[in-house]
Amino acid sequence: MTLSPGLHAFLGQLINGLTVGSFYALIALGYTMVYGVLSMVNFAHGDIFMVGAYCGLFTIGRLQSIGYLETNPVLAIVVTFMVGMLGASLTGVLVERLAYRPVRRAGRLAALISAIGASIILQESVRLVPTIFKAILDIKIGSHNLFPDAFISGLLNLAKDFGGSAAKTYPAILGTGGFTLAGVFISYGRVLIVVLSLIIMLALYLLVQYTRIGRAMRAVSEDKDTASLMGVNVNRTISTTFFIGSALAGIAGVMVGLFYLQIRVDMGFVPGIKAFTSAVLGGIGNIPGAMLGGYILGLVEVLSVQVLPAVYKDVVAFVILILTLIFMPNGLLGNRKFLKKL
Amino acid sequence: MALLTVQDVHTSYGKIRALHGVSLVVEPGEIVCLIGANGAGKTTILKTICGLIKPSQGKILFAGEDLTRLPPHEIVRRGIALVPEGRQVFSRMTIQENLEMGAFTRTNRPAIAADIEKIYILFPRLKERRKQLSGTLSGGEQQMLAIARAMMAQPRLLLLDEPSMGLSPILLESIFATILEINRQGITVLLVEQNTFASLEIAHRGYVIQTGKIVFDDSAAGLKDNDMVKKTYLGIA
Repeated sequence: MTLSPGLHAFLGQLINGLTVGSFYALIALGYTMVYGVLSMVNFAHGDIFMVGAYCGLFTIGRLQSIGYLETNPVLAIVVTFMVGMLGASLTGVLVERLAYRPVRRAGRLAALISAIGASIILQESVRLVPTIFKAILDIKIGSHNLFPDAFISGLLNLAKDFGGSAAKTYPAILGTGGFTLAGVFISYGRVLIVVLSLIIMLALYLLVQYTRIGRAMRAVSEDKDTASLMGVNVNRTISTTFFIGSALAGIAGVMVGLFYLQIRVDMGFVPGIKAFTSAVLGGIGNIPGAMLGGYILGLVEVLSVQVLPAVYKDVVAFVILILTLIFMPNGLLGNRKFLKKL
Repeated sequence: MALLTVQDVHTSYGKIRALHGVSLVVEPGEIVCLIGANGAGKTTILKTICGLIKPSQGKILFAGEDLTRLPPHEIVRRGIALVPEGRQVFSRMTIQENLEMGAFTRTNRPAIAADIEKIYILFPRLKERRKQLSGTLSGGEQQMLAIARAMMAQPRLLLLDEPSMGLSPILLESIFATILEINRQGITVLLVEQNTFASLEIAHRGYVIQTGKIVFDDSAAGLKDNDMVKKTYLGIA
């Protein structure tokens, strides 16, 4: 079967849109979950995604240097995802504990400013990791190094993967393999990303809908005081929400690293805003809405490249954000009737 | 020994002081009501007992244990459940899920399921609508759900804040019959109610509260005969 060139290109972009949409959806879930429980936009969420990408890079770099990536690539990738997830989760929990909890009763502006501060601190911390390592290792007593030379070079080598201003590169493990469906080439990397994302999102949905902790999260998002009267530990539930939302961002961070190869300390900004747009588009606070919004935005963005110059790609996302906020602030799935009293 | 003892509790919202040294006692098996005008501090007393507000001074003892510094989620585990003012059911959850939330502190699943069935026998309306979002229920049904949800925690002391608010006289009667039935099952009740007449009908004793202070207390019969209560709260000249 042969397709017309236009349809062929369209299908190719569709696959591309699903890939990008998966990233947006995974990150958007974190925004929407945090908004659900705290009614605040976690502007540090994009940077938590970045921390996940760096933790993943650090792990895969180590596994590569000991040769494990060659001998057992599947397990190496699984471990990379786990560490990326855990790194992002712990960062998320720490950000909530240090930056949001102290100002929880101080109003929305305080939380917003604190979130922006947390975002800057996360970026700069990751950027400065090598510098800080070097400063500590360079401590001298008289003319002698405090630490043995082997130790210094070993640690500097470790810190090399973590941070700095320059872009860092993931090993090209996903490869260029793939298959052709109806004349459209689909790489295994894209399949992995889309399928894994969908599985994770389904798992999240089941967790929120049918488990005790999920029910606690929904209760806290609706009414903290009443939830606590039922016996829900509100603070712990908020921490759990940050843990899970950040884990999803960490997974997205590792995926972006594996797929695009290059990561930077400021990589969280644009995807962060786009994922935020997705969450708003789907109806912020609504979990299926964030998934839907992510995929819609991914598809609209890549299809816009078909009709508009590619440089307008980012503009499309922001136009959607503004239009949604003006004409449909509850989003596609946000239920007006039950929208939280603000 | 008294089940609940509130000792000289002072509470404030920021700089506004709401309670100025409230003391009261609830004995096991009683229905005790708090009578007072809007803003007298009735809701504040209930919120302080269940830990939503921390007193600046004073003590709350429950079955001999000091609850004053415990967070609400620990207090409910000790056996105190509140039916909050305005019901506060989880409107985005189904009725069944609301009842399960009420049993959040419990882990014995078969026992929880059995209790939910008992609730459904008591409130057949809720059973018909178990899969519906509770935000779609009428005010009276939501009140029933809020009470049922509190009962799911298996409390020894049930606090009710304005259960009749916004309900028709017929519904009011059925809510008060439910409260009596709950009390007959051995659960102690502390009731805050605007409808002084109805609450004195079911209560054993009552406290009258004005601007954050208890002004006096008596048996329900005694309060009904009290001239000040008659004039101020019952509207009888």
